[in-house]
Amino acid sequence: MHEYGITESLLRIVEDSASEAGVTQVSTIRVVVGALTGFVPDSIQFYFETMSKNTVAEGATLEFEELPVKLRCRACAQVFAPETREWTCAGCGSSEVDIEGGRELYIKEMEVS
Amino acid sequence: MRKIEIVRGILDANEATAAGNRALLDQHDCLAVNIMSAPGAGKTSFVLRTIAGLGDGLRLGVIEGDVVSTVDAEKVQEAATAVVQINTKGMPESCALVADMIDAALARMPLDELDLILIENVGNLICPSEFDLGEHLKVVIASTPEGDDKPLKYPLIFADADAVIINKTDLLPYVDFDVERFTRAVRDLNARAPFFPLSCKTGEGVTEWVTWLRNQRAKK
Repeated sequence: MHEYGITESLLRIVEDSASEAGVTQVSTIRVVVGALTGFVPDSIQFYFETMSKNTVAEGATLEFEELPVKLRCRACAQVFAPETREWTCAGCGSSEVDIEGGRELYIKEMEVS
Repeated sequence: MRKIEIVRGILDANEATAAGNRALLDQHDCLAVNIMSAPGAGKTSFVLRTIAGLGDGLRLGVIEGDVVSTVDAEKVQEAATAVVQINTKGMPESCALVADMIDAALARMPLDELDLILIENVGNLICPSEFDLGEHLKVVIASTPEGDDKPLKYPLIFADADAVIINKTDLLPYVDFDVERFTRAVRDLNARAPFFPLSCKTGEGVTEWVTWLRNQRAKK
């Protein structure tokens, strides 16, 4: 469980960005989470509700967008999103891959008033 | 209502601290190795075997990450030049070491007197893969009783490994662990990591690992 620290970092970024933009109330925060990360959105939500009290983000909605796993085939260089846990290249059938995407964790945007 | 684009990584702060740790280690010509595995795979035995195997040639420091106890640090204390214990209980992150903890540990270590620092991460195959500590090498240990499907379940940690240890080879006759299948699963995700099958119990295979580590130190 490392969502406590993650939520703390998230909140700090939101507060900094809000203050830079001269905003006093954040209503929605959109977070992008890669499918390969171990982060649990529900757990971030849980900490967020407590930690955001008395900040510009109090009462804001957290929206999560999951990015799929993206692999690059080492044999034919095709980039593909595997549909199952069988990580086999759809082009050439090779199972030797490099992970290109799926480990993201970032704040994409927020809605403010 | 208006939108503000941000696009900032939530782990950016950790990554910045990790980069600072790496710069500090480089400045003191110290190689740091992040050792990760599931609980019970033999991290502490592996650290002890590595220290014994390296002998007196290199000056060693150890950072022990553990949720509560100091048992591991006590075992290691006698063998290494400098040992720092980090108990993660009560810290924001208890499932993995993060760069801030290493930053604090390094401040308590005589870096000029050390050539190599072994960092024993918290036993976990998921969380430690998310946090850069500022280490130079990532080593993942899988032990034979855990089964050979670990790379399929925890791809990230194996994809990022600079070396993969297969521990408890003395148990191979008794467990269903297909070394070939395991190495193929890792190789599918990771083209570069060498494999070191060994037994921390009998000491078999430890020399090959220690020789590799010594070469990494020499190359730095």
